Amino acid sequence: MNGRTAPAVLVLVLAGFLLTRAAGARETVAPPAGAHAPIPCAECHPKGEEEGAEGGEDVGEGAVMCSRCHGPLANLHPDGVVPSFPVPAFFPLAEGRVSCSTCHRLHTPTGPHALRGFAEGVAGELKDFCYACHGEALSRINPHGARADRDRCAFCHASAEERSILQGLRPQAKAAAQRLCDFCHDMASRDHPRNIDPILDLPRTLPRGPGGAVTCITCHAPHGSATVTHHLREEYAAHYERGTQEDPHVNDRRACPACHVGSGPESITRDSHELRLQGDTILLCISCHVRARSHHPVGTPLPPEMRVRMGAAQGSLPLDREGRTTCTTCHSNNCEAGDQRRVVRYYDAKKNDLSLCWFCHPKEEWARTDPHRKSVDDATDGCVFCHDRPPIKGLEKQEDLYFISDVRMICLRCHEKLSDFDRSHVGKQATAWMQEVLAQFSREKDTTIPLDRTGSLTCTTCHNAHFATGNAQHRTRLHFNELCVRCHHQK
Amino acid sequence: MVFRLAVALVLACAASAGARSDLCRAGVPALEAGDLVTATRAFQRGLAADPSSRYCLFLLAQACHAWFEHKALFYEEAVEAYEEVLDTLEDPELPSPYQEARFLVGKILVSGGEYERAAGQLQAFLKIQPTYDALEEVWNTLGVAHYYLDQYEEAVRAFEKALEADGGYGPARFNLRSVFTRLSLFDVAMANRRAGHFVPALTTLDQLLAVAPRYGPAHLQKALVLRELGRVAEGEAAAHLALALGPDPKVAFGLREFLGDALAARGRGEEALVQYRRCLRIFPGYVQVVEKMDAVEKRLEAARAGPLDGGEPPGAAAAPAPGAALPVAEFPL
Repeated sequence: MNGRTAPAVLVLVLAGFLLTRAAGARETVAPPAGAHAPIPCAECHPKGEEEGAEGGEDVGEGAVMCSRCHGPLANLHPDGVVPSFPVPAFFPLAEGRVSCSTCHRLHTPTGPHALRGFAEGVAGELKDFCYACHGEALSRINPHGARADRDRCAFCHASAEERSILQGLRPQAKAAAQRLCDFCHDMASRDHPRNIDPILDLPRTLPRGPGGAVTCITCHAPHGSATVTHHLREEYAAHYERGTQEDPHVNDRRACPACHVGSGPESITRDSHELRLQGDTILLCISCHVRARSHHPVGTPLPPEMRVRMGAAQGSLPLDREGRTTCTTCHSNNCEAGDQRRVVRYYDAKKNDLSLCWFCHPKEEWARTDPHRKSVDDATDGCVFCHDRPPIKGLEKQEDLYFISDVRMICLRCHEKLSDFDRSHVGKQATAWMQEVLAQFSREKDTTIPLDRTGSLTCTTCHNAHFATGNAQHRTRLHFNELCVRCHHQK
Repeated sequence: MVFRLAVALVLACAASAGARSDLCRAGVPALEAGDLVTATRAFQRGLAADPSSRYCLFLLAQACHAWFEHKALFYEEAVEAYEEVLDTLEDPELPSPYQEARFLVGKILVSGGEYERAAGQLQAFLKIQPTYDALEEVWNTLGVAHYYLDQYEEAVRAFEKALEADGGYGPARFNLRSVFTRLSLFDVAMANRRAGHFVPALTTLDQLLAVAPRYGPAHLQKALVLRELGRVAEGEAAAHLALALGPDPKVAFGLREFLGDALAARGRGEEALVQYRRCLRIFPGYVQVVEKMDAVEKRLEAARAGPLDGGEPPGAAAAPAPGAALPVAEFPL
């Protein structure tokens, strides 16, 4: 028998008693199960404790002495303390205090680290487990927060004396970084960091653990970072960003590493060209085309009728490995033709020909739909024809209106035949002067003359999809005489 | 870099501050060289000689800030010193080299995990100093603050502004990708929900919530998707969990409305009314909710009057059927 686990067996036995009591079967002792199952009761429970446990609910650490096997530093969570908030009954206290058995159940099948709640479906991940007890206060006990009583340092550090730190001594950690961090973050279960960077290509200047090992604090700054998200070190972000400043849409092989993994252009060939970001083309494209997000749904499986329609494209509109739309379904870098440049498949911008769209979407059906005249109660062609969810009047900022896509793309679904006049306006970046004029005009007329989220002119800048006001035919927000002269007053 | 910039600006201001400032000025090279012990002592001596010296106080704040960045010490001292510097400004709304303290305090507050305070200071700084030399750093820091507040839309805006100020600023691009990793999941979930693929929508939302557990819109969508799947009780649990996280008003509105609908559908009219009233506290007069409340109240009145003909007791209010579009109040477009 393993001496490290032996003392916990008594807890298993006692918890078995508790469970059977709860079930109204006092006379039956539940057999130990789980990690401590093979260990005799007496290894964990002092003599005579069994009888006491049989009659009582409390099975405190004092009774079972977990630390005898697991060591005094095994536990990182405060124990022996009286909680300052009501603890759910699901987490039993020992005489009102937190003990090992408050969180761990040692007799029955349990979750990771013999934690309560997993087998019962209360918790699916470690964070759920912590949240189940601490609730919203969990963020307030975050040991990374700097405005803390010094006790928080003690969560990770065995000693963090200000004087010794000022003398240049390093504060001693309570445990290895990996273990400390995983207590809350549980990243080991996600195979982190290899799930992000399989080859762990990291700058040599980043701090390493014993033996040069990569630890959590190699890339992350545990005391916070104001520059990079995930508390990452700026140096790591800079290293990760290397190469992305190249424009991959030029016919130059030196630009290939912007999208492809490889030590240099020569290592990226037609037969070997692994994409960065684990081949996620959506993320790869958006990482530069940050403003293109959401202009068309991606990552969705195609409905059967679309798949049928798409057959006409004969495979020239590629989906991702799981059969979902992706950026490269419609866009291409033309690499296959050996002439790298950005293209939209089947699309001629000069003609505004939307043949590409009709490989998936039902042109005739859309032509029959007029969402501008639909009732808000219409389940398919009402608000949801253009909006993801109904806006809440007064709460939505203009830029937060939930459209199903880029406004221009929404309008183009039906309004294919754009005039030269339309094309000369849509997508044009509004100058600071123009923005000011439009803002002032909006205030004067108590209306909205919206730009898109990039500050460019879009269809709804001039046209009102809901209530025709200035011109019934074109549904402009105001009459042409009033609207156009605001920007074109010199003409 | 920021410290150097701040020191240079303040040195210019302090050029005429007199001999007492010399005590502080002696610490500047030490601060720049990273000799924090010498620098801090010099600034403390200068401040002791002239307790009203804004110049010395600002330098001391920066020394404490550097201590925090290197050794995780003197966080509160740095924040307090920066705030004292700002308190000494004759007009806190006017540009001044000492306004730099607003950016720096925002920066250290982000590192220290006080994101809301940080965002307030950084937004104020951007308003006061819109042509600041290192604007990309300020916007980026503000974006990080929003990111940690799970205000991803605001974070995106801030990071994009950082890139507008300096298109080659790597951290902002890196951070944008972080946000998009999450928002892309949300977009995919929404697209699936729209297409009626509720199971993949739920899977994607769970994936997102695993990495962004406080992202309110994802919780709300999860609750709605669970309702579409007929798993209303789980939806309610998700909504309660989200409300405990203190979401922003529009998400809280959606969650309360969802809970009101669920409770009304189960005939728990009084509890539904509580949720609807909370909706109206967020957005007074929202027509849709008022109509729902009327319907529930009518049913409650009928229930009080007693069941007719021994038939089914009234209770369940007209909650929207799964898949039905919600009616909306007129909105400003």
